Amino acid sequence: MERVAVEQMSMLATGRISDFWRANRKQLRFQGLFVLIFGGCYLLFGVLPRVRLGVVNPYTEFLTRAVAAVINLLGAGATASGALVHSPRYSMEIAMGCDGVEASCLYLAGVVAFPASWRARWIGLAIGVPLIQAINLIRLVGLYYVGMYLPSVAEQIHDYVAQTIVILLATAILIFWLERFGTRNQRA
Amino acid sequence: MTFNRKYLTLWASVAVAFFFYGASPALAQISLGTADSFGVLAGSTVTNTGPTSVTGNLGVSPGTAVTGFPPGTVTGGTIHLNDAVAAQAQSDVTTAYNAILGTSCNVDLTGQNLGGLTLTPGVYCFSSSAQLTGTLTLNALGNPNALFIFKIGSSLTTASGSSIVVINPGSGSNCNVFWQVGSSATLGTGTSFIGNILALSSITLTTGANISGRALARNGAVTMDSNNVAICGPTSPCPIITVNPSTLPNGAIGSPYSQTVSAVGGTAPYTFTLSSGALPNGLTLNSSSGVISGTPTAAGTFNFTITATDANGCPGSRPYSIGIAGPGGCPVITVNPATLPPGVIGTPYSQTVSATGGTAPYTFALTSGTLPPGLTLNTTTGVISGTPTTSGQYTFTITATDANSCPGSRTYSIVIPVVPGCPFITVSPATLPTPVLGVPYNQTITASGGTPPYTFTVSSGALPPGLNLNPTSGTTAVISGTPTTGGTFNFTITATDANGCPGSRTYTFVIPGGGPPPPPGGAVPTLSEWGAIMMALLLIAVGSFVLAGYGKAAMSLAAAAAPASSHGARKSLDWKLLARTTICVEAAIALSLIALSANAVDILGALTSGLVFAFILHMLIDGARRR
Repeated sequence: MERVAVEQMSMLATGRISDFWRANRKQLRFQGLFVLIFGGCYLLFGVLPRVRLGVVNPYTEFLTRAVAAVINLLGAGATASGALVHSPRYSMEIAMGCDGVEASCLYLAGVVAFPASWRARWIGLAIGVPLIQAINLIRLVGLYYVGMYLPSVAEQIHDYVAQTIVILLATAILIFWLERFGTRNQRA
Repeated sequence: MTFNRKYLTLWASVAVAFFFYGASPALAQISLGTADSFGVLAGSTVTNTGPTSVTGNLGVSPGTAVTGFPPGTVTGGTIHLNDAVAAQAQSDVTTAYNAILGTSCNVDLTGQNLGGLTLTPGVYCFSSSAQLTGTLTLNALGNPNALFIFKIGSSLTTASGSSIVVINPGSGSNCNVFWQVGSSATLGTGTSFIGNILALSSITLTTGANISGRALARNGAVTMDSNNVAICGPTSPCPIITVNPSTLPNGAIGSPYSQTVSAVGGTAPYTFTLSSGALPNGLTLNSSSGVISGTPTAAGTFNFTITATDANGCPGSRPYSIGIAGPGGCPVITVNPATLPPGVIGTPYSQTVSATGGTAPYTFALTSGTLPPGLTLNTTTGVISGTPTTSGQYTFTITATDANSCPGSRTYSIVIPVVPGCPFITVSPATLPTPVLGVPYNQTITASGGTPPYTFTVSSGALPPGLNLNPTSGTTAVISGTPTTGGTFNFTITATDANGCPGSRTYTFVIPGGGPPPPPGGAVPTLSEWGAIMMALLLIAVGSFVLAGYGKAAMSLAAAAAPASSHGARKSLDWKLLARTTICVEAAIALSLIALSANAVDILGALTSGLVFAFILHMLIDGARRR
């Protein structure tokens, strides 16, 4: 009797797991793919020294020059040197994670993992990644001015406000893409 | 883009929650503890040439050598040679060093020259070496407590004539500047430096370099040449603390003894410690009151030093000598000679110790330590004789007891060199700091006792991969490089002098960890760990939201206006299920965090992320239930 009861309970549990999987197949597949794609991107851009040295670091230097150029348009007289933007009044380094690569990778994982057509995915990446980079550029320029004029709150702005804005705007871009492209070209 | 109320709920909770977690803890002040009173502190030696001036204490621990004072002068403090004060200061320097290591970088300056930069308070990091050529300006922004921390992976070097300037220091003389140096610091000729250097290895101040701060070397030497080192910052240099009285009366076995030492010149209360030597047997020192009391149980002359430390950690000390007479009024018995000559392996050795001051005949006994193997002590004649068989340095104490049972003793050290005819060559230091995987390492090995120049070799075992032994001068060699492999490594370094006489010492490195060194260019991400987790969860929630069939209803005004009856296209949130899921998830996270004693940043980050995770979980459970 006990053996029969155990077998019934086991079948019940197996059935529930099977039901759970069937009901959420699409979502779970999306979530698993998201983790795998982001893990791959992180390994590629964040861990492999060759990619960091050959791709990310040159991009960071390009970003540094772009930040300095924008700041100079506004008349602050900044100089870009490596990953450092500095002027006689303030200096700021664009460190790993400040370059927007991590946020872009997360967005990329969201777009690629979603079951949309490849055309929709390419549109999502072509619109979203440059937008996130542009938002990050504005964030960096803003942080430079905050550091120069409001140094007492620069750390709080950097840690709390700027980060939150980037995360929320990246999520908004994904929602925009899902509404306009992702769900209209959804694959079964 | 438009949202209906259901979707705004997620946005609002996330947006509000984001303001409650942070990326990095705020900067705390760095405390040097008792090292605060030291202008110069070294691990092995302090060497000076020329008229150097040090304000504050000067110390060395665990080394014992301070040379060049005079002509160097120490004002507002004293010289501490491996005493309890210097040892405590070294311990406090280690604590401060590790505290700095634990701070998060605000800016990675690797590869940047500090010259020409103007920096605001914060933590600046160099993954390898740092160089200052020209002027570094530190803008304290009017804050007298502004903190500048420089974390340098390997060496710090300044070019000739370089300087550091603090601007806008506020009301104080701001020099709250800390330089954590992973190997050695070298200040070029005429450098005007500000801050406290905490170097793992050595600190070298070349001619005319001045420090407004401190030179604190954990393991290596501090080498100076006509410099001025003056403590700056909120703590003023230590005053001169005097311990009184100048002498203590003698005592006798069996007679209760009580004397009080006191201190003046510093800030009460004082703590009294026995910094060297030993009290007569039966007497104790009360560390709070300074009372030496008890009943002596052994006769003899006892030499010791008492150090008083005031409320600010500033020390002062005085040596004392107490004679304890025997039960019948024992005299002080002296054992002679003061030292014993070295022996040679295989060659007969004979020396006689004698006693004076008591009543003959005397008996001699080995009361502590061991004689060199092959030698014995004749307890009646006091003759130490035999043929040494093993090289080494042997320390022991011989006690002479006279006819009235009154004792007297002396500690000796006999050296037996490795090779007959050779002096005993010492390789130092006795121990080396443990290298860290992937972090540059630099330690100096010194040979002494023979005729320079010495040749250094690894005579047995092997250095860890990535480290090499290279001679740097006639008497020193350096173990340097970057360890690439973890593990336990035993090796012996042998120094051979100009006459071929060897001396050696065995070292052991236990390097934790394994695998390749970390990739270059690392820094603390601005998108913090919790920020990345939160963003990932948010994107997953959005995608799952759409795929679960809530999407069109949530994101379209037209769809939102339509009735929510069609399953799969217009699902509505099950608020009860969402509430239950959130409570369960947050409770599980909270219990785990309490069990792990997590910090505030992790607690807020995990609980905030838990909100979005609960939302995702709710969608999955709801989806399975509706099926």
